[in-house]
Amino acid sequence: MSKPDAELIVLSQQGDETAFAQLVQRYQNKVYTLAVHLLGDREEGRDAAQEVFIRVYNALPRFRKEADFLPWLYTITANIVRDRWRRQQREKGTIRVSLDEMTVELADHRFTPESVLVKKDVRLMVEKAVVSLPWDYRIPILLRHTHELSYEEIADIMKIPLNTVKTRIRRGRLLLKDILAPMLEQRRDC
Amino acid sequence: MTDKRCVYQEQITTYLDGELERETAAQFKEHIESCPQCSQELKKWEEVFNLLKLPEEEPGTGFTNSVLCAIHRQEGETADLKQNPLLLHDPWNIKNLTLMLSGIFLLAFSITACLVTGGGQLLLIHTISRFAGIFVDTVFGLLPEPLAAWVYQVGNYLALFADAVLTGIQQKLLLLLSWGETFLMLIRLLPPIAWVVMLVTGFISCLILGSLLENKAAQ
Repeated sequence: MSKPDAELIVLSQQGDETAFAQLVQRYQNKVYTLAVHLLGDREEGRDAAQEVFIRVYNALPRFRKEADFLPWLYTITANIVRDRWRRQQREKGTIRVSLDEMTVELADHRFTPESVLVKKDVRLMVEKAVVSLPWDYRIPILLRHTHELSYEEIADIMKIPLNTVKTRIRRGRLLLKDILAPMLEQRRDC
Repeated sequence: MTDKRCVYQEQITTYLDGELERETAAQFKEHIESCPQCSQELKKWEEVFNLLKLPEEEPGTGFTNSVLCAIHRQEGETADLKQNPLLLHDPWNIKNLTLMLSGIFLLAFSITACLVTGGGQLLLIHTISRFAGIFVDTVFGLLPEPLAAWVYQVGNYLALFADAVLTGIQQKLLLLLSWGETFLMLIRLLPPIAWVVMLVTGFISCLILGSLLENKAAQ
């Protein structure tokens, strides 16, 4: 029978490596998924996820027992991924795909009826669309839709006011709807 | 045909979020059934919402182990740092230490060269000799007469012998230290203060070079 988070955290704080390994196993998919979708790169996402758990391990002695583990984990993930993303931007120069370019790219993408049916293609296009969003919209959109968190939880994780979260999600959705419109049209036509 | 946007369209995403009040949601549903524009818009948004439900991904086998290995590595490095603050296992630190020792050697070597060749005016040596002389005379003065004379005599012989040995060493050192007449001339010509400035500058340069190399290694 699997132990609850609180117990695993206490054991990890006492130096129990097996307990910490269980915590990693329990949350690795969530952290990895968020990192990959924010960075748009699986290799980078894996490295970021590893860095997250190393930081969690180091910060665990300061973790308050009564606090929720998952929001704390998401906050660390968001911070580490943001730092990595900024570093990438500095190294590559400011390569930012404009929304217009992205829309054209998606519209020009020649979907054959077969490829439209391939879920993987659609998923990759959606991931690309999410990565093309401004950074501030990316995290709340993903936390809301992919991780199914409430607005309040997102505000808590991002340490920003509730109304700001709502505004960012609303604007992000509108941008995504515009970006994905050509693909949705093509899907409808097939 | 008027392109008037239906007011209910503003509520579509809130409805899909499940954030509408029960009464408002009921009104919204009723409206959707009678409004094709809103109904079509709702379908579009539903599609967008479904697309955004991206599936959870797995980082692959061995992820947990790689995290634990990275933590062990980190802990190993921390332990090394605690046990060996100079981090002598790091080749860059060995290099820095070597540079620092080289700087100290250079300083000592140059001061010795300066004193041996007379460039330093032997002020320090004269002062030490004078104090040593006073001390020895005082000690001799405390000894009984015949013994003092005998010790004094032996001391003289020893001093002569030491003088001969030191002169020999000095000559050998001169031979070893001489990198040519020009160098020796320069040493003799330079005043002590110039020597000090030059040597300290050299020593500090060594340290700065070491620091730069360390920074480069850290990058």
